[in-house]
Amino acid sequence: MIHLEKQRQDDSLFLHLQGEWCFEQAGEIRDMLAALVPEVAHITVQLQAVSRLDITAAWLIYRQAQQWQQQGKQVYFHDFPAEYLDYFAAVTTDVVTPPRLRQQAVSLFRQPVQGLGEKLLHLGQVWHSGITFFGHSLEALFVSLLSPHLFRTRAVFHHVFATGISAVPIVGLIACLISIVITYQGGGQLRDLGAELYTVDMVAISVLRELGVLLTAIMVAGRSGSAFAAEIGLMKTNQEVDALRVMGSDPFLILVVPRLVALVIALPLLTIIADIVALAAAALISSTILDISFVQFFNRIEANIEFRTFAAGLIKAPFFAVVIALVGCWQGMRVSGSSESLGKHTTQAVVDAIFLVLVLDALFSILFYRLGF
Amino acid sequence: MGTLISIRNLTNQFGTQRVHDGLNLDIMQGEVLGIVGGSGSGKSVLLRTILGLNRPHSGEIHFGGQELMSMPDKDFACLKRRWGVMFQKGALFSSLTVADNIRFPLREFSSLTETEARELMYVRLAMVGLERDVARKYPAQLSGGMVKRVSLARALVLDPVVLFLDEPTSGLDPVSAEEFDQLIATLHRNLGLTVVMVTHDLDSLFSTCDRIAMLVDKQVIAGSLRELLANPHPVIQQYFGGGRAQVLLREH
Repeated sequence: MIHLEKQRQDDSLFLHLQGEWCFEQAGEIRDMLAALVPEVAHITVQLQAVSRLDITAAWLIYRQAQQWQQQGKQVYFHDFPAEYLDYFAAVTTDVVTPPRLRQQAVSLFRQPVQGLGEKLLHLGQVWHSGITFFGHSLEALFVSLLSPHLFRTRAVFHHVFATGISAVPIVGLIACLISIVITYQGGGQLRDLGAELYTVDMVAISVLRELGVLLTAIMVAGRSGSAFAAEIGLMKTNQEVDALRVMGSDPFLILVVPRLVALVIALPLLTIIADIVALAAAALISSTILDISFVQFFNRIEANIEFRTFAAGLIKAPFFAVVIALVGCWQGMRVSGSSESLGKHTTQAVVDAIFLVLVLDALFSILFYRLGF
Repeated sequence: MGTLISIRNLTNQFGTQRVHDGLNLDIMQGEVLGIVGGSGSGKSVLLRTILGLNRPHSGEIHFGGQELMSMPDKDFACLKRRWGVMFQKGALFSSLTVADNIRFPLREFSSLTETEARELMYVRLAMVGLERDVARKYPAQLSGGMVKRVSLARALVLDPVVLFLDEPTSGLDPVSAEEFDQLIATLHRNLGLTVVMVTHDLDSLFSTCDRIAMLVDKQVIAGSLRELLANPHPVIQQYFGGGRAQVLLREH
């Protein structure tokens, strides 16, 4: 508990502080000192009776004393810990000078220009880093393909399991759901026209050419792209990547290549699974709402859907896999220091991967159209 | 001087591995206690258990007469505000600047104004011997020694009654380590602070600690340096019998 005893003598005031002056009483101390409006020239603060004086309390007393001094009073301390005074002397109150008007006018024009320049510079750096990363990864890939002892088969299997096999349930579920949606929506419309049999063609073509591979890629970008970025990013902050470099191993060879190869294997397989599940689900829904039997459904597919429809979808999968793996690893490598940076780059990995997958898909559509594929 | 923290029959077990077996330790008010022991002897687990980060298999820990294990979480959290903890790797919040790291406890748990909080933050920076311009930096931009200092500044900002330090001088250069020891001694003298430190640094052990608690055979043997040296236990003799310890002992 804090206790303050005032004693007035002529032109001086003696303040006897007693008790425990601690952090918990900060508000009380501040109010108690501020309430003193001494009309004297000399103030003596005596602390010999204080049983405990912590830094916060001492600072509040010191600050009040400074204010009294500014009012032209003389303040003396008795038994104020000398070390505290050293610490406090290093801290002088900040004086913030507002920028002058002329400078403000200049910065009004300079700021957008400067901001634009910085943005462009940053963009250039990002592109430079991305292209360098891409080249370095390809180099590491060729190196490991040419000298198989550098190729890390175990790591590839591990990542095939993590990105592929453990993704089977969710990818299957999503394929199933999207196929149900298309069959219901499309089938209902086509039945009004008396052309419900065309539902089979519609579902098969849209799933095999586009939706199967695209949804799988988006799912994998969300699952594995982010995982790659976070794994490598954390290794980067822990200096594990530096440790690899110092040991003379190429982090690209150990971290990037296995993930890249694994995803190139896993994504086409997942796409095939998604296609199968989607067609099965469509067959089931067609038999219940459109009276198209399983035999009819698959006969129709056999007759009308060529192998190249399936191939047109599947061929895109490895390209999507490369984009997802490289963007994930690249963003992971860009993580620096803070946990905030880790979060930012993990998010960026997913967003960039999905964006690039869609861009690539658009390009493929144009290409296939031109080729008549 | 009374007992501040008393640990009774503490047992910690991970799987089949028993780390502490019926450990007893008393930490006195106002002392500097050094916890030592070989690697893997359970120093950090002991510290984590006292801090409530690790639930012990069995045993009791009393702080100022209150039993911590059966205390409601809310009261325990309130109590822990009187404790300052400095983690081995600093554990600074990496998304906050140094200034915000130090001010964080003040903002959360005090009624101080923004100006007061800022000035008190600068006082803590001065105390741990850092320049003002460090305040604007992020933890990732600091050197290892600076991280330790900022971490100590954060631990001190609520004016704790007990200060727990996990290897405070590891990774510091000898000059900084000695300054650090002196800083702890100054704080201890002025604030009547109780300091519990896990350390491997024999220098700070001999110069700063009043008492040493050594983890031996899953238990603690505590006493002054002289008492420990007189103890015939082979592990203790081995610990203080090494070349480096002998040189330092001759100096002290």
